[in-house]
Amino acid sequence: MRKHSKNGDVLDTARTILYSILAAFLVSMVFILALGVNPLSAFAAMSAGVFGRAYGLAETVAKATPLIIIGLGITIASRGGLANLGGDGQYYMGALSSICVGLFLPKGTSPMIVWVLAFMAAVLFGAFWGGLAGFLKARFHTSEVIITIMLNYVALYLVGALVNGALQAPGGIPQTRALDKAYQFVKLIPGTRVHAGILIGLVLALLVWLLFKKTTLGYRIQTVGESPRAAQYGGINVKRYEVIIMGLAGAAAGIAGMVDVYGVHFRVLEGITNGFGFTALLIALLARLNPLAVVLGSLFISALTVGANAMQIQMNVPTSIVNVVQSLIIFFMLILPGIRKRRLSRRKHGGGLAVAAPADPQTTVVG
Amino acid sequence: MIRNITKQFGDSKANDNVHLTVRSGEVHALLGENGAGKSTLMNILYGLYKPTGGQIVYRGEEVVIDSPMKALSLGIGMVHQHFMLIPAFKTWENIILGTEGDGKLKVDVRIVRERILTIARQYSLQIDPDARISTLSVGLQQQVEIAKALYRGAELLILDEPTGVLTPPEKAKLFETLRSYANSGHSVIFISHKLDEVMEISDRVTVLRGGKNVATENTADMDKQKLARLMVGRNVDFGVQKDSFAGETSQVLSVHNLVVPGNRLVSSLKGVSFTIRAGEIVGIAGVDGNGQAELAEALTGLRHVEQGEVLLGGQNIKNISPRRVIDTGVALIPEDRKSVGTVKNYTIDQNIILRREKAPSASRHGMLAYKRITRRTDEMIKEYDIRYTGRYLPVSALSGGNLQKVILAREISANCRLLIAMHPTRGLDVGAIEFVHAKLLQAREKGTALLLISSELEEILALADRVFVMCDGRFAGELTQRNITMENIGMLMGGETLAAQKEGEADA
Ligand SMILES: Nc1ncnc2c1ncn2[C@@H]1O[C@H](COP(=O)(O)OP(=O)(O)OP(=O)(O)O)[C@@H](O)[C@H]1O
Ligand SMILES: [Mg+2]
Repeated sequence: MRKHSKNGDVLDTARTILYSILAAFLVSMVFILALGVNPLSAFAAMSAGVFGRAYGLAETVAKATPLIIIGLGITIASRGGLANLGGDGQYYMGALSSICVGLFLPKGTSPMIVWVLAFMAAVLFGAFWGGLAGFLKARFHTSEVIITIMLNYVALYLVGALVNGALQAPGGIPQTRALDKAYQFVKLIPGTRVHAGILIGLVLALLVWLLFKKTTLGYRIQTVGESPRAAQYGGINVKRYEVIIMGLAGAAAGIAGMVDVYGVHFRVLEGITNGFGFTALLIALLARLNPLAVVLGSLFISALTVGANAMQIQMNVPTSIVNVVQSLIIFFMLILPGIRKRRLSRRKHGGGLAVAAPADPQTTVVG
Repeated sequence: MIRNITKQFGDSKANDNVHLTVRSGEVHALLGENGAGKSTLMNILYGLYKPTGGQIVYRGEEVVIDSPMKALSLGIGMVHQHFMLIPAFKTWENIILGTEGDGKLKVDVRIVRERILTIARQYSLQIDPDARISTLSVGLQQQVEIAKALYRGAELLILDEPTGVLTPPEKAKLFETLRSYANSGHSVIFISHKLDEVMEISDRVTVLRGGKNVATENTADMDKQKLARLMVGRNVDFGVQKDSFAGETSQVLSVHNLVVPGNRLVSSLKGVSFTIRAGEIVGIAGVDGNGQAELAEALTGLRHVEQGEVLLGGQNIKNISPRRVIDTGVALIPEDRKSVGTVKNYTIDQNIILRREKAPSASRHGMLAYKRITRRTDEMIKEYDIRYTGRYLPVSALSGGNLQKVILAREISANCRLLIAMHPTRGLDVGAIEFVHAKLLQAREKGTALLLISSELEEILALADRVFVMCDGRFAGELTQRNITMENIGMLMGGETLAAQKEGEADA
């Protein structure tokens, strides 16, 4: 809808993100130097690790898949004005419920039926886990930030209890039995971990994009996020939408759990999410809540991770440097727009205002 | 003095080579249509916007004002229409906020209080330094805002539409303050759409149209009609023509003994009853904050009704959801256009579909129909003369009056059975008011029942077929037909009762 401003906005945003990434890399070079490693060769090892081999690219895509899907959910929540920090818990619920479908349906059930039911179970349980936080907020004004974080622990301990108890596979290792081969997602590229889940991620990205671009549901979610008072005046039941919004966010994370179980791990154990929820939140911010940019952002972050693994092996630089880079990117994204604004205003005033008339059409507006 | 100021937003100029000279000791009124560029010019003078071109000469020197701090240090103060006070703080704390640095760590409250009281005495401001802002009426808060500017030594005071929210006595008080302030050699720039006020308070007046200077005149040489002509470029009809209400149509709204609980800061409704017929305009007059907002909210599902009956066309709509109220055909022009009536980051189009995004004119099967939305928005922009600098900019870029027009266009064109209009013309210029009044009467012709809540007595007198005066959550009295006069409304507002109403009061 915003034809005119759009181009400028997108350009501005893209520029901010690019500068932030550059600045983050520059600063992290200092850390790498401090480790006694030449940063340039470290980065070379990194990019070779990603781009230099088919495995690197495939691994990047595989790792990006859950991030994309959780990030889309977080995009919905944040556009609706709510913070979903419960990606991990919702992911676990999706993983747990979907593995149960795969393990307990009678042998020989057609894979298609298993997948559909597992998907539905993941959606349902993920939505419940997210929606619960929305419900508590709507009902008792509890902060969804705290509730979603607490629910992460509940889910984690639930998984722990089950893989050590009712669902434990024979053999004493705390994990569930593995899925039947027939139920495992096909590999898109044989010999790698890239599986059909990425397609689900891409379709979902498109759907979320459509949601906000085209649908009245998206309009309402966004209105709640922009101004709850205007939304209420607009006939939108804000409390109900808080449940819906968190439910959708949870459903997405649940799907991510199902996709990982059926595509990568084929079983559930503790630690299958490795702080995905938090990483996805960073990605959603990085993507400025644009669903298509979430896909790119996820690929970028997961490329960093893959590259860091290669870097660690070759150069002995710890992978945690990636966390530093990630945090720095966010840091710079937050402060760069402010710095730019100040610089602009200083330039404007530096030369005095002696010149009257024909104006610079791009004058920025303060406030 | 402002010389050749130009301010460009995108491709259009909000100010185009504007000149404005303000002398010391004068109240200078700034007039112009909605979107003429008044607020923009003042924001430049106060350092909130950077001019695209031109210069500001203050006391004979060219100055660059790049922040409100700079403006204040030069002695330029501004009172915004939306106050910027911190409700939980005391008056004196708000007044010194931002100045308390001064190199010292400790504020000497005694000296501060003394200074505030001196200023208050000097300019007959009604200030209690220890009163908490949240306990003050709007009028008193405005006085605090003024005191705040004066405390910082403002010698030029800018007031952007200061009277919109004031009661008549509060307004009189404000004018008294401005007078004594100007008489002591300071200057005031006063923006208002109310020509009576301009005639009353100002010494000179500058009129802008389309961002350009039209005229600067001595107020004494002007009259309302001349000013209006300068502003809009044509003659303006101040009175509206309307047929008297026949009174035989069907009842649309019937409210019986409505009770709404209040909370700490808002008043409540203590049992009001009335009906509105199709094609009738019922006016609610009274000082703001006596339950008018609560009434509007209670009727539209936005506030819980404790007791009583609300029937729309015979159907119970008490305590049903806002969504269902909208769907049964109730339109609402809310009091707060900025944070309730519109979403500030949405475009005009997105705001036009608010409340009715499911209507065929906006969507089909849950999918937004952009072509139709754009076409309808185009029509409304044309009909309501909404002026903007960018069609797809967020509405936060609209001028106050134009933002109001977005809400008016949306709610009036919904063709509802019942239209509840709170202060529908607040912030509109005379031409726009004339148009909106015509629109409201047109809706009345079509059989819409109208509930007009307004603190503008002229508006009530011009439009209403029946008037209730609201006072402390109750109706202090009802006026019909010939009874609707300024005097009668004033009497009821002042707490006196008309003879006939006396018994009714007793058992309420
Ligand atoms: N931040 C902004 N970005 C883009 N355009 C703006 C911005 N602020 C104001 N404008 C435009 O500049 C023009 C002048 O606006 P301004 O607020 O100065 O009008 P005004 O004379 O105060 O009108 P009103 O009587 O309705 O308050 C309007 O067309 C408005 O849309
Ligand atoms: Mg204005």
